[in-house]
Amino acid sequence: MPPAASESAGQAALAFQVRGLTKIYPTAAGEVRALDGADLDVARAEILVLLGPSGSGKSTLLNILGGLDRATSGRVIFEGRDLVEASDAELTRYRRRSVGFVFQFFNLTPSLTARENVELITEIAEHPMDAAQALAMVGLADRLDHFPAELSGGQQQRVAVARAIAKRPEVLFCDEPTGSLDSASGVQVLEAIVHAAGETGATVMMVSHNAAIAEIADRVVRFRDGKVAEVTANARRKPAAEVRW
Amino acid sequence: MRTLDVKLLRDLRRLAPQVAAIAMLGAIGVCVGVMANNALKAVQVAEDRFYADTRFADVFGGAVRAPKALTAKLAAIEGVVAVDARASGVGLMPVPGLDRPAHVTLVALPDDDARSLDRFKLLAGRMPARPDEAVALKAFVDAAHVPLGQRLGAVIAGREVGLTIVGAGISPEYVYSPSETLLPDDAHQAVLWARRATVEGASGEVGAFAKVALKLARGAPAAAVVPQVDRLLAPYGAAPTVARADQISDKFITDALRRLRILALILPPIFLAVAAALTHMVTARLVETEREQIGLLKAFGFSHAEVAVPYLKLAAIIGLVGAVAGGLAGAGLAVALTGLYAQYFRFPVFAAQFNWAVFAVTSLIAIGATLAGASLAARRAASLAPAVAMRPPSPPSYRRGRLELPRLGRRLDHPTRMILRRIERFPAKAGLTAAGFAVSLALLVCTQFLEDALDRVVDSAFYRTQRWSAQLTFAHLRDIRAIAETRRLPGVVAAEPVRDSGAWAEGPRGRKQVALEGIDPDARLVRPLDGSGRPIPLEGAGVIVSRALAERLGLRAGNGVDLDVLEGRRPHLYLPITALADDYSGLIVYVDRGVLNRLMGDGDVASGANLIATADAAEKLNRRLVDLPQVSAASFRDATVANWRNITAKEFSVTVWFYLTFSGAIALGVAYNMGRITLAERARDLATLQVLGFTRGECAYILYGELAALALLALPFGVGLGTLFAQGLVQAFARDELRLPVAITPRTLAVSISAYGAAVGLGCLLLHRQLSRLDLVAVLKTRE
Repeated sequence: MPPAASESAGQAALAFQVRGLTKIYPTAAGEVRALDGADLDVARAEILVLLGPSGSGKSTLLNILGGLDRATSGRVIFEGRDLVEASDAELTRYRRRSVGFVFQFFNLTPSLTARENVELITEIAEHPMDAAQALAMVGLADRLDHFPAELSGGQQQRVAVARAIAKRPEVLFCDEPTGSLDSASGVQVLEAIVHAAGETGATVMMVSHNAAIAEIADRVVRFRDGKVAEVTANARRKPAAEVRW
Repeated sequence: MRTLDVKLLRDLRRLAPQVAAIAMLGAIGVCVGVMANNALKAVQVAEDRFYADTRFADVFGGAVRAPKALTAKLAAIEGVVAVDARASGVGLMPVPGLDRPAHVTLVALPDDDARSLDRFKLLAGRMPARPDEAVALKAFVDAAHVPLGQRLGAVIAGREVGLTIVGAGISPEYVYSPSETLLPDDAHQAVLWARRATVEGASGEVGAFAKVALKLARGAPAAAVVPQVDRLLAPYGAAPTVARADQISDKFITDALRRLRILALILPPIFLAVAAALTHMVTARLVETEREQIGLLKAFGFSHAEVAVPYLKLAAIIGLVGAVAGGLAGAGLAVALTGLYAQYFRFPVFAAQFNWAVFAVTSLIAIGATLAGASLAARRAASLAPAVAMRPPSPPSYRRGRLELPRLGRRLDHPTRMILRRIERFPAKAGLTAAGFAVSLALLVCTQFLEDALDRVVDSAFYRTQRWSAQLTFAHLRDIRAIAETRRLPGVVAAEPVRDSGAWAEGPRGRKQVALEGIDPDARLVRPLDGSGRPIPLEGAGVIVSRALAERLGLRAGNGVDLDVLEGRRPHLYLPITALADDYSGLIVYVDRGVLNRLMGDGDVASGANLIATADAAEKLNRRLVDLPQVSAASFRDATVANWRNITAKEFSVTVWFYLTFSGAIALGVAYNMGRITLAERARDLATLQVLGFTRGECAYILYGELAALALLALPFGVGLGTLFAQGLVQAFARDELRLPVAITPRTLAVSISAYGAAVGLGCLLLHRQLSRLDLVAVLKTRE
């Protein structure tokens, strides 16, 4: 990755510095601008919730910051390096070392137990925590040897959180983590994410349709038409247990 | 076009590589069937036409100076419509450019060609116009590079006769003309036809005949005529009388065609079965992924049959594509194969044939096979209840596998555990995949083994049992002192007498013509061997019988065998069997030469000599042999074997690739299709792992590891099944002269397993494109 632009100097407390990020998808009907020059600074260890209607660009931003997709233009500075210029191998290394993911549909490996699903990732991580410890952190100490088919949706998602957090990532990306859960299970998952992030000091970027979730964030970023429309800071983060929808 | 058909077309486009891989296997099945049957038809049509044109006889007899008057008695046998008796003689003939003399058979041309049998058909030059002219077998002229106009000197029964070759052609009796050792050697197997007076003069058979051919009325049984001919010829007996089915040339052609017919029967069903199994896997997978759509269609009022039919249509299209491609390829290959046979058999009119009936039947079977493969999936689609179909399937429930032994389990990494648990979780799928792999390897093993088996036969027959380097056949029985003379020939360091004769052998299961080989008990140059390769001694008046003959006639060591000797006074003998020989020497009975001489009422005589001659004196020896009137034939082991190896190497270089490609295609098709299915089923898993930081290589391990594990698992089964196939082939191919051993050598295993590994590897390589195209974002957003 090329060295970062000079303006990022002295901003060591930033996890990401996003500048002029544009993503264009060519379609049969013409170009679609999923991101249209988005700018954003993300501080370390903060909890950021990204809100916006479908197609507003929030998931595209998450995918680019997570190293899953490439921007058409612009810059994403992470630890002094530009992710937009990174090679495939560098992106894989980035995902392997620095990033944790929680998906809407859990994406657990059905042939591995809860503990093994976590171990699968800790095996390739540099300074992981113990799988059992990670699962205890999300309240599943008594479900270590259950296969996904033997767990509820909420429990499966908490295994996914444990899997994401066990390698002590610098950033935890959550894409609609409560999207396919009922309210009670969703709250448990949110608690697990906030708790685990607090323990490891990870930055959390969470995409959601659910405005109620915004209350657990340090800051809320609203998207419209591929641009950051509004950034608001919450005076006080509401504990996840108190959130209702 | 109905919307469901539009969807079918789109599915087809999406599944094109998989459809192509399955259709390829169906195509191979149809192709082999069409190719073999078209080539068979071409050979048969050409053969029938040629035999009819040349009036190929039905019964063949030999004699020594039988009087012409005998032909009237032969003609009077019931069922005989024509008799053609001719003078003939055999001897040696030096040919410019050949390192050793050719074996020559001189046959008289008929006085009246219109009424003759086994007519010579001229292909080049002209017929003899003078007594010192002759026409020759084209196979010999071509192989020995004899130009028309060449003058050759043959030594027949001690008399030298000079003949100018003025034409070349073929005769139905000599379409295939093997050497004394039964291996083909065209350059050294000359057949010449000259005017009757010339041949009678050369063979000393004025007013007599040495060979006779009989044409039977349509439907007249040859089996009834043969013994009567044999009886009439007995006083002049030399060679036994045979029906057309036992005539060497015709028998060889029949055997070659039989082998082709067996392949055409065995191979296609194997390929079609694998195609059916793969069609099943692909359509079953399709129904599984389309459950929700099927449910939706049913909810909107589509009938059970309407939602099931597209899957059957898909299968029918796979079968149809395979049938058409296979039919075209088969027709093309048949033309090539027919060309090969044309070179081999030299029938004058050889035209490629297309057997529409065979194409239609194999095509229908191919389509039937893929339809059968899709039937389970179609039934599943029809039976899905709308409500059930619209609910996504619950995640497969896994357990800790039995494959992970407690000790081993702890050491396995998680990707390996994923592989093992999946194999255990879906045993039917894993089993089918492994079975497909095993069949592929089995085909490779059983086609590769043929070369090794033939090698072992030659090694056993020419280097262990028969250990002579040259073999002389005398024109007539000679006193034992002749052996001492042969010992003085240039380069000869050892000579042993033999007395060979023909006989009918009879046992509980039937009667067979056999070679009766009289050897001295202390013979070192011919030694019957037991199963472990140890020489078996002859004991007294007891005989040693080859296992091939014993099995055919139901003979056992300790029993006796009835022998009707076809020579001299033609005695009937009943001799005890002391042992069975396992030496691939064909149908043979070994007997003490002294015992045989006494039983035949002869003195101490020999019919030939086995020699060990030094290689450096070969040229001198060859020159000398031609001048020996008492030697009518000579065989040289090294030359014979080298020539044979040359021919088989050429044959195998074509067929080996043919079989490697076809058999490997199964492994390739199975690996690719099962890999595609696994990839589709695990796309989410693998994409998730990539998002979580796994490299593509690590993900590839999970995909290919499963295929590799199943391919390894299939290895012992494939080798075992291949050995079984090989045994079946040996049974099917078994001929009187040749019984192949089932010899799976390290070479066979090395070639088969390498080809197998390469085919599986190629399948994985084709998958790699799909694996590297996994869309990380899309896969994570959608639930399957």
